[in-house]
Amino acid sequence: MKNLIDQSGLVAESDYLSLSDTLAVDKDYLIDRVVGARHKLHRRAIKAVTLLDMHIPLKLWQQYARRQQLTDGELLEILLFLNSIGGLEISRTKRGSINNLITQFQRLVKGLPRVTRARRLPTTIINTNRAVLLAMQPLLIAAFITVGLAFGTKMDVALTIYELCIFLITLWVSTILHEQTHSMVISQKTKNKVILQKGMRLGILHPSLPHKTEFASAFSGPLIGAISSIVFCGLLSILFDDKTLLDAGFLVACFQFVSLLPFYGDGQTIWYKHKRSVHNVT
Amino acid sequence: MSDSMVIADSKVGYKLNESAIVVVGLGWLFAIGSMALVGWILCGWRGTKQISIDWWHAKATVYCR
Repeated sequence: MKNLIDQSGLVAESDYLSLSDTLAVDKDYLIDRVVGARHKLHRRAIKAVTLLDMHIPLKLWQQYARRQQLTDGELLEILLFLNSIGGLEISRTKRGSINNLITQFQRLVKGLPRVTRARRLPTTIINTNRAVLLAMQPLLIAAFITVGLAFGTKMDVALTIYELCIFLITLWVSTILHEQTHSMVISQKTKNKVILQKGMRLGILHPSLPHKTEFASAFSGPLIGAISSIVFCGLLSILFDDKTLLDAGFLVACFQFVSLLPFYGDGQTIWYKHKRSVHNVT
Repeated sequence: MSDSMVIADSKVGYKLNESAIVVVGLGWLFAIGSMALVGWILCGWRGTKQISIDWWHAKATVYCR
């Protein structure tokens, strides 16, 4: 047991594991109903993956797998793959969560590789909010450290907290609207979508869509995110009679537009679709 | 068949593309935190009164107490 935990940093002794509702085992394939993927399973992995559909304690799953002559390394491979596609659901007690945090910190200190847990959630506003908050966790830690530094250097801590709160809330609200806009545009063509969150990264997983829909989704998300941040901060600046709040809105709007750059994210999707449509024409 | 337990479907990609906003936000916070740290180093025990940043000219002015 300890070997698997030590290796992954993903699961802990008291965890319950299950397969996401959007995945299913069909003979020797793992079907992802959202994107229409068929991942080929090794014959020895089929039963082990099928068992995950039953919300099974990790210990029991490992015991069963050992009877099937699966090694810890092979079990780890299965878990890591499922986690990479957001298909592994881990249920953990509060105590388990604390223990896991301690384990993660120990691994960080020892310089051991850590596996970031991925989550696949239905695209409701509540789940989008949850995914965005999870992605923003490093920002909350950085904000806390910044407040500590401001306190240490005898700066105006209240002002620092106030400005950071405005910045973080604006970022939070605009990112939720950004993701929900993607989701709403995609909904025009398919209801089969989920939000995937892994560390600071987010994405809407969906089947292949027409170029126009992909283009519209990729463009509208950052646009709505930028507009919402300016409007939100504009309203706050009127409410609190503080024009500097509008600066925060413009700042976050710039961050939203960064995602339109062609190197990654929405910008990459737009660029890729544009290239594809140009090649189709020529 | 290879020894891999799972062979991913190569026709499908699982891209998690949306990280720019959060990462840039984190970068921004690092910059602000770094300014506070610089203020701490420069002003020492006296403490920092204010840090004025001119983004256009990439210039920061630290006012100590």
